Amino acid sequence: MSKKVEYRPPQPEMSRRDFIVRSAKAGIALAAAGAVGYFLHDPIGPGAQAEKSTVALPDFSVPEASRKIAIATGEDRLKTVNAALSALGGIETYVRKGDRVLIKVNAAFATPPSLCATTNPDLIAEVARLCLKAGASSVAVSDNPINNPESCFVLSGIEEATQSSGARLILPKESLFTNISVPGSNLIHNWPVFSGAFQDANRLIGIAPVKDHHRSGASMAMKNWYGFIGGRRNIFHQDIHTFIKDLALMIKPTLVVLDGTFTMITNGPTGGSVSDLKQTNTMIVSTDQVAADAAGAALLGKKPADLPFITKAEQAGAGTADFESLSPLRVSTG
Amino acid sequence: MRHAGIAETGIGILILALLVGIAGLIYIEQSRFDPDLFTLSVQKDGAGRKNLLPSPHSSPVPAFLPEDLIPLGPEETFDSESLSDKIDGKAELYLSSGFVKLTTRRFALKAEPKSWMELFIYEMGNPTNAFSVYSVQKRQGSKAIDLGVSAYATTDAMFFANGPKYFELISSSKGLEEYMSALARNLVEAEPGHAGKPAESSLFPAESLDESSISLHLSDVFGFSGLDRVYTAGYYTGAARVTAFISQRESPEEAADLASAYGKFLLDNGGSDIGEVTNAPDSKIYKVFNTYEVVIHRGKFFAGAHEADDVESAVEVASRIYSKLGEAGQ
Amino acid sequence: MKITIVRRISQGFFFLLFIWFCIVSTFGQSFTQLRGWPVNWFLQLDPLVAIGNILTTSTLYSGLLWAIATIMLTIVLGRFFCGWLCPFGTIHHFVGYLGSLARSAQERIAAKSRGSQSIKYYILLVLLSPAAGAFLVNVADSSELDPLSVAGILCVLALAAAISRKMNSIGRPLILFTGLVVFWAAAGYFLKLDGALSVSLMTGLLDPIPLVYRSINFLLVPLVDSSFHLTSAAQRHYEGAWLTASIFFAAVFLNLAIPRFYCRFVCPLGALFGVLARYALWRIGRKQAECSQCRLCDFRCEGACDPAGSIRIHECILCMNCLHSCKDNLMGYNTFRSASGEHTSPDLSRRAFVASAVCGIVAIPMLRLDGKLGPNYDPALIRPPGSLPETEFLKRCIKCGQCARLCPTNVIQPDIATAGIEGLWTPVLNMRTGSSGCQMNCTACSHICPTAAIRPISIEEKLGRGAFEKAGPIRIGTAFVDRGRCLPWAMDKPCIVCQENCPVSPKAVYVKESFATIRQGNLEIASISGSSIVLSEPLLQPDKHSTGDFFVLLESRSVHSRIRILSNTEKSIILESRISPELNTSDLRRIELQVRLQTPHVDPERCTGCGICEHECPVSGLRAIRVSAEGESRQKRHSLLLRPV
Repeated sequence: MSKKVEYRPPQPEMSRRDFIVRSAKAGIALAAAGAVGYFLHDPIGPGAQAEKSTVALPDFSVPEASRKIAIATGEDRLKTVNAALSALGGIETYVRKGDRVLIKVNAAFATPPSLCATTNPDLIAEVARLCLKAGASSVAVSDNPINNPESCFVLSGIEEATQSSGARLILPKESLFTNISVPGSNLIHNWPVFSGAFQDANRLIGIAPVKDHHRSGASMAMKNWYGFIGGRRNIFHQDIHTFIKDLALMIKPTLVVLDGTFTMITNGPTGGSVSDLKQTNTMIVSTDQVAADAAGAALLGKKPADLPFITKAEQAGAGTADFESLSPLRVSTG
Repeated sequence: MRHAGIAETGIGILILALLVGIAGLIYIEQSRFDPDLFTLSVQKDGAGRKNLLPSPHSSPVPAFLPEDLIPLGPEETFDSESLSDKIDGKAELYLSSGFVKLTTRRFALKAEPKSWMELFIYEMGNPTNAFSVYSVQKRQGSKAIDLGVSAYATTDAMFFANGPKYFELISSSKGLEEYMSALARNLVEAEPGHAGKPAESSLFPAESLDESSISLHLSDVFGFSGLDRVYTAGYYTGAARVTAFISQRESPEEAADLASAYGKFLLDNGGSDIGEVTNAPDSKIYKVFNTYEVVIHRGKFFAGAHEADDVESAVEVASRIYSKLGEAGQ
Repeated sequence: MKITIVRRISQGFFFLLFIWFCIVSTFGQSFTQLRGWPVNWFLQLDPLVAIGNILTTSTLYSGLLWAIATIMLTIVLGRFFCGWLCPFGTIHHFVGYLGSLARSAQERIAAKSRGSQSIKYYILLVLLSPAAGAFLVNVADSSELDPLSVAGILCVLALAAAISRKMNSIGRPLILFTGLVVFWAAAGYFLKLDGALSVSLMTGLLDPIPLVYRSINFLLVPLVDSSFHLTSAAQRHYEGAWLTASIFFAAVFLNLAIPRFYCRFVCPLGALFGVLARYALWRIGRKQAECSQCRLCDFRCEGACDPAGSIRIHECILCMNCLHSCKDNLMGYNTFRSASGEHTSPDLSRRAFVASAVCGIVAIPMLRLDGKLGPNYDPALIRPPGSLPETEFLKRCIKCGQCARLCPTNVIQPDIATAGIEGLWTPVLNMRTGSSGCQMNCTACSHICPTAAIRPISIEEKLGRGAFEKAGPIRIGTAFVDRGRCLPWAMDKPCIVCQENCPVSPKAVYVKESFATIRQGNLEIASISGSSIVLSEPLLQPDKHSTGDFFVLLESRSVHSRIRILSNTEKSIILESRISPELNTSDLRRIELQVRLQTPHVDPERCTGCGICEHECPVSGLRAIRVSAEGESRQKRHSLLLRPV
């Protein structure tokens, strides 16, 4: 493939003009090279890796709502949750027209709902439905499961419940995680967090089952936020109580719903058999996550003082452990 | 083949000159480097010790360093606890003489870093202490050097005291005297105002005195715990060498007490009283095994001659001291 | 003086300078050691390194500014670097000359300009596109495209359009290439194809300057120095010698077939210079159109640029041989173009152009599908302290091997198998080689790296002192005791070499005392008295248990006593101290002969991964304590422990 030859006889004017044109082009190239060198020159090089952290996550609590806790008893989850919410002033107190709600569930394991290792799907569907009825413009359901996400949401029944109630499921994708640091926390520094789940949500409701947990003693409302943490998060098990306290600092929810209808009292958090469950028929709903956990401790046969993370969270100012002082509203649904 | 024209040759020469220039610049460049980046000695940081490995930035090139020398490693400091890490058993001498702090650093010849020296700066608290540790460690066969302060040199080292500090400069190889002198001079000039002889040295009679031998012993002098702060000096009388000593006490009573206490010490240790110095009242001559000790006192001063081989020379020196002490007044 | 003589002097000068730099790259301060010698100068002059650095990091690091000077001189003068400076080129030139001595004139002309010399341009494309594709993404890397970035991209497109009109052969492929890159970048931006756009700097594989640095440093210097011991007292070792040598000697010996083989067909740097030389103010060319066609100018043409015909400016390396070969004095270094015609651009087929570009852009994301940069990372990949996190590291490392050359303990090795093709010749620590793992107080490699793939660190930062006390020391990994191989753990043999050599304070390797009854150590005794025990059978090896590590355990009902053995004969044991009288009863029939073991444990909060323990471990094959990359500071994902603030 021989190309056209640029043939230039060495006539003075022609070659001079050509030289000038070439010089001009060379000059531009020289200038470009110089500019690149000048503007891009970095004499120092990369420093110790800079920590890119954003500010803390938004506060989802409703300002006007005071610290309240409702404890409803009964066999039917849907009835107890409705009763508890009414006792607190109704869902409308917390979810107004146009609000965008995120429901943080526990979908950590790919286990069937009967084992109560994950949040009960019917409960999720009911809360989602209530939010939409109160006028919420969108309801999302999310979690960063321990096992494979797709199978977790499907096998736990949560995916179906979400879709049937009109909410949407947010799956944890790598692009939805950003590094954040939580001011005042010991351990959450420049750590990947599932912040994409909060995409323009302004209300956050956490729904968690009450479970025994080998490391921390209990897994309830505060530990539910572990599902927002990314990266190699099992490392935090080495200092679990401090970490749960940090989680309580990280998230300020609108409401927490603690489902103690069937409490997993042994072999938590995965359980594995219905014999691990005890039917305690209790539903706790509160604006104060520490109080909720303190109230839930009794369902496991423990006292709040037996669970160090509750004390730590209270000391850090995330809530109050003395839930009785909040005048809990006790209702029974028979 | 065509021959090269003028232009071509000219350009060629220019290019060659450029190459020479590049070589020259590279040669200059090779001597500019941060020596702290090249020290590999692993300093074992014991628990609770002070940081023996300060950051490179806290050890800049000291002002007193002459041009031809570059630092070879960072500065190290030692306190009373860690002194023995550096100088082992010798630490005791310093620790009993008022030691405060030791700073050491190595320097090397810029052109040949394999030739290096180490500088020790002992801070002793006051000039007397510094003079003491300087004088009691004086090596045999040394020669005095002129620095304006007490100083001497051996074949591979320099030692001097300037004010409250005692300096040792020890080299790794021969041929560094010139640089060491420059460094020593800079160090002395950096803290001037301390020239001059120590106080009591003027009390020694000048005749036959070996000035460079004047030493100050601070404690447990001559093996006797009651003796401290004693100046000694050597005399050449005839063939023999006599060590004389003078110590200023608080009061004439103390001087007298010390004289008798020391005498008793000598008697207890195998000495015998063999007489006295004629013109010195309340003086004693002791024979201890085969040496002689002369002990006198006059006014506040306690003095004499120590471990002399020849009793006559010892007495002679002692009586001269006695006379001089009289001139000095009480 | 002929200019060719000056050119030869220049080649010789830079070649000897380069060899000198290779010799003095030994850690130390004496004249024949590193001092302030600017040993990276050739790498800094190399524009391919600089352009790679700009594309992958959007900055031009420190000393690489020298490359701008090279680029500027090339724009004005042409490919002077290839003919006058490049040490690799000098080797090829020389060997090619030797090869041509045996040839006749006919053969020499036959080894002339070939169209296949265009291959190096494709090689340049393949190597540089992984960096180029992501450059645009970097430029637009923010949630909103700011006006500056948009302006930048539009400028690039406009420039490409403008050039394409002027350039015949390169115009359309260039537009296509730019279009491809923009499309890919847009796709990556809008569709968030995180996995689809990966940046990697691959130029180091064939860039001649890093290549010649590592070939000389990893092959010739240690080979020659084994006799002279000038650069190192002990023999230095570098892994992967077979690969480095194959490539180097293949390149060198191919010159016997075709002179300057590498320069003409392979060298991506030469290709880059070829593209930059198009506007050169001075160029080699014929002063008049007609000539006798004697082809003497072709004889010694080093660049194979066809000076007798239409000279290819992009191939001409300014060897100046043709100026003096022409008997009629028709060749010159002129400001006007050659009278017999001139090509300024290489002959590139559009198809091949696009194929190379796509190859390059897509290759890296595909290679990275193996997950080695994520959870499937290779724990044997221990990088020098100060190394950037892996994806950043691969953006900067040009595989020059300077860090391995300089490392005073010879522990840094060029990687051949651990990190895949992206990691070929990148530095990896092999604790078994060299004199002692990574020296605690040494930061040499971080200061020599020309592109800051290993960023410069201070001793304070490395040790976690002073301002860095909160952050802690830099860890390159963690040591793990292999209890199945460790002498005290598995074989009841006392050994604490790892603990002794651990350089941090307090030590990261600590020991716990335990006692184990030795093999057949349950012995029946005949009698006990004082501090000696007589066995009923002569079962022992004399003096075997006199080392101070052996103890006798005497147990009876309530008393339990363990006493050190002083010495032993075949039948009797002398103890260090008297046996307690309570035990001198006749119901003591058996004793246990025990060995005192100190079993090593690693404290991960203290261990920096320096590897001295691995190096000293007496289990010399597969060491009983080995460092692996868990816990390395540069990658949070690999951390072993919580490190609360």
